Order: sequence, then structure tokens, then C-alpha cells
Amino acid sequence: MTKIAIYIIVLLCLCSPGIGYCYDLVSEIKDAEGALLENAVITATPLSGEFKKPDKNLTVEIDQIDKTFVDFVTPIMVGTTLVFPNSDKIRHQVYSFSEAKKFEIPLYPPGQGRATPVTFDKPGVVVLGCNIHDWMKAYVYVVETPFFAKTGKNGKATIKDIPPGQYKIEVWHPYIKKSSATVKQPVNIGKEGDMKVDFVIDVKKALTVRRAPGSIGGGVYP
Amino acid sequence: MLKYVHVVMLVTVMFCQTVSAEWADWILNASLDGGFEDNVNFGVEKYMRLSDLTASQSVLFGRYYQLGDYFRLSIAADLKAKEYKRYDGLDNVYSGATVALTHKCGWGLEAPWIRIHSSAGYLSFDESMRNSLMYNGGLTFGKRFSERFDMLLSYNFIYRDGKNSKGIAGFMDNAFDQVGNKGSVVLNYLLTERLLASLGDSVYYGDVNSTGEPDDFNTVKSFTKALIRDTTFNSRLWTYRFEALANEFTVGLSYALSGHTSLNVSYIRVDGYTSDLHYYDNLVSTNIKYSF
Repeated sequence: MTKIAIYIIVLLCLCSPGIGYCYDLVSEIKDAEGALLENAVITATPLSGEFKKPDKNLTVEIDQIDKTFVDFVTPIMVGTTLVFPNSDKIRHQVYSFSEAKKFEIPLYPPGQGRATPVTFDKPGVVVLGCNIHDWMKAYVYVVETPFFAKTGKNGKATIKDIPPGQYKIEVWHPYIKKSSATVKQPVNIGKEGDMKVDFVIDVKKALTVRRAPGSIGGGVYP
Repeated sequence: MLKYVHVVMLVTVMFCQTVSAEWADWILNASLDGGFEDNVNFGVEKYMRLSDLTASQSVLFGRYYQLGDYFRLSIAADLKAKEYKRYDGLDNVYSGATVALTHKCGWGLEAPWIRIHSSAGYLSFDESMRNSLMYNGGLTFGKRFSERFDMLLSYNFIYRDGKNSKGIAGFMDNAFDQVGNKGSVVLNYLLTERLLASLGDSVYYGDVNSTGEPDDFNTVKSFTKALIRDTTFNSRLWTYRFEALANEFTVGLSYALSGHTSLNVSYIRVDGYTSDLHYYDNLVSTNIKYSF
């Protein structure tokens, strides 16, 4: 009799939505002209404000290869520590003047673990640069939720293993225009299995400092 | 003297090898250029202005040395060759060395920088009477206002030590010696991710050469400092040196083919003024540039 009761309870748990099951959120991001957008970040924030915090300190790396930051966009959760390996043969610097995290790492040599790691403790957008190579630029998008993903070249991103519930889904891109609709809520995850939430956003024609030589002078810090 | 320039270049390259690689980076700038110039002799009268097509190549090769967070020293060998289609006496090769020390005044791409630079080299023509030692020194101030827009301001002292040639009575025979001062401004504006527009203007005050026919002498005699017979174009012409104020206006467009290579077109207008006369020259060129 006890065994039958246990089976029934387990069966009820498995059939009940939201208990023990997690779902994926797939998103496709396009610009106003219909082009698929790489480097957009999609986030899912529980409207209840409750989520399980990471068990351990998170560490993410942004490398420097051929005088370029890799990746160009890195989404991280608040409290994550970024490390900056240097895969070039020359020294680099890293700096940020952004409100969400201001820091300066003086010239450091090639290799792993040669620069002081930086912990990002506030949400927001952090723009990175290298003081020697003005064209080097990268974005760190610091979010408060553990549920986020970045779009690849196909404009698609998947946030995996989201517990069921009501969420605010947001999109961000380094070149997004303020006029873009970036929020969809409430989105009920788990009600209909895996979800698909797409966005169409307006993006600026982005410019970064040009690396190639110019017709006169050039302009880059020589 | 030419041999000393090559010694400097050799020492430069050897010195390049002695510094720890992590503090030094290679400089390799190369350019292939084709152009048209409508007054290669800087003649004053319309009938005396000689035009020609030109082809040139240049290579700047050396190293940057990062001297801490804010200073950078660059030492490079500089080689240029220029060919003229009709007036091959003007074909020339320049070999020299350049040294520059740059200080960036702070962090960030908008931090201004200042550079002191000096170069020396030997300019060798097919018509050897034009061969000269060239010296150049100056200061450049650079400031980026945004990712789109930056500006360069520079001052250059220019000194050319030419050969003395057979002159005529009453005139000095060092027509290719030149001393001058030049102030320049360059504005660069990024139109799209790949397309860079540039505007430049410079004002030069100092010695200038012009080549013309003997009939012109009466008009130029009063301000001519040196006068020689010049066989670069043909035997009837003479080259004279005088002091002038010259304005050089440049407009250029550059399309980035990659992070290292660009395709460029530019137009240069040079106007030279003495108290009585107005000289001008128009140059159009297109080139491919590579920068490591």
C-alpha cells in the first residue's frame, strides 16, 4: 500500500508542470531590415525575483588575439570575475571608463594569468579598450539573472534550463537604438514546453576606430 | 654621406633584435601608388608647366618600443622610389631612417598624444645634380574626439642639402638647398565602418624650386636666391630657388579592404606665392597601403 502511494506521488510530481522540469528559451533577433543580428544578448529575469544563485564564483575570460578582444560581446552575471589572457606576443593594457565598472590594468605581458582579474559587481554595460591599440574594443554586459545567452552568426540564442514561471524577457545589443522595443513580459515559461521569443530591434550603423591606414595621416595613436 | 644613412638603417635593424619581444612590435607600412601631376617642374607660366604620370612604392620597416604605459619609441628604415613616365631624370629613390617618441596623455582613445620626430635620408635622382640629403624634424599633436573623428596638428622643420651645380654670374649655385617651416592640420572622419574621409591643409614658408626657360628670368630675378642650368627636362631649362609661401590642400578618401590594407585616392593642390607670382600644382593619386 505504501509503495502504491509513493508511485502515485511520483507520478503526480512528474505530471505536474513546474516541478522538477526546466525549459529552454530560444530567441531569434533581427534588425529592422530583417538581417539576423550577432552579439545580441537575451536575458530572462523571473518576475518573482527569485532564482538560484550560482554555487561557485564564476570566472569568464576575454582573450586578446591579433590585437583584437575575443569575444567582442561577453554577457556575464553580477559577481562574475573576468580574466584577460593575452595571446599576442606583445604587451596589452585593458581599461574601462564605464559607470558599471571602472578599472585600468597597466601593460601586462603575453600569457595566461598575467593581468589582475576583475570582478564585476554592478549590472550594466562595460566598454573595454586597450590604450595602445585604439581600435581594440569589447563589451561586457553584466546582468542580474543567471538566465542569459548571446546570439551567434545565425542570430539565434538559447537560454537553457529555465525553471517554469513568469519571466521578463529582454534583449540588448551594443548598437541598439533607444527607440527599440526590448522587453516582453510576462512570458510564462513552462506552460507550453520550450518557448520561442523573437525580437526585431533597431540598431545604429556602428563604428569603431578603423585599424587600416588612411589616405593622409591615419589617425590611430601611432 | 650616403653610406652613413645606410649605417644608421643597419644599426636600426640590429637594435631592433635586442629588445625583449613583448615590449616591441613590428612596424611595416608599405604603399603602391600611381598618380598624375600637372606641374612637375613647378613652372610659373602656363606654357612652362610640365605634366607627367608617376608610379611610386614605399616601405617603412622598423619597430615600436613601448616605454611604459604612456611612451612609445619608434625607429624605422624608410625606403621610397618614384618613377616618372616622361621625365625620367626626376626618377628618384629615397633611403633614410626615422625616429619618433610618442607620449599619450592619459588613458582611452580620446586621450591626446604628442610626438616628436626626426628623419634623415638621402634622395637620389636619375639626374644626379638633384641628389640631396634630406632632414626633417618636428612635433605632431593628435586628438581623437570620437570613434569617427580625429585631428592631427603638426609642425615640421625641413632642411635639404643639395649639390652645387654650374650656375650663372650673379647667382648662387646651390639651387637645391632648401630650408623651410611647415605647419599642417589633418582631419579624419569615418563615413562608414570602412570609408574614411580626410582633409588636410598645410602652410609652408621657405625655399622652393622652380624650373623654367631663360626668358622668364627677368620676372623672377628680383627674388631668386640661386640659379643653375638644369638638364633634368631638357638642356634649355634653368632651375631657380626662391623663398615662397606655399599652401597645400589635400582631400582623400580611404576604403579599408581589411584591418591592415586600404585603397586610397587623394587630390593635392599646391599654391606657391611670392610677392608677384603665383605657382600652382595639382596632383591626383591612387594607392594601396598596407600596415602591419
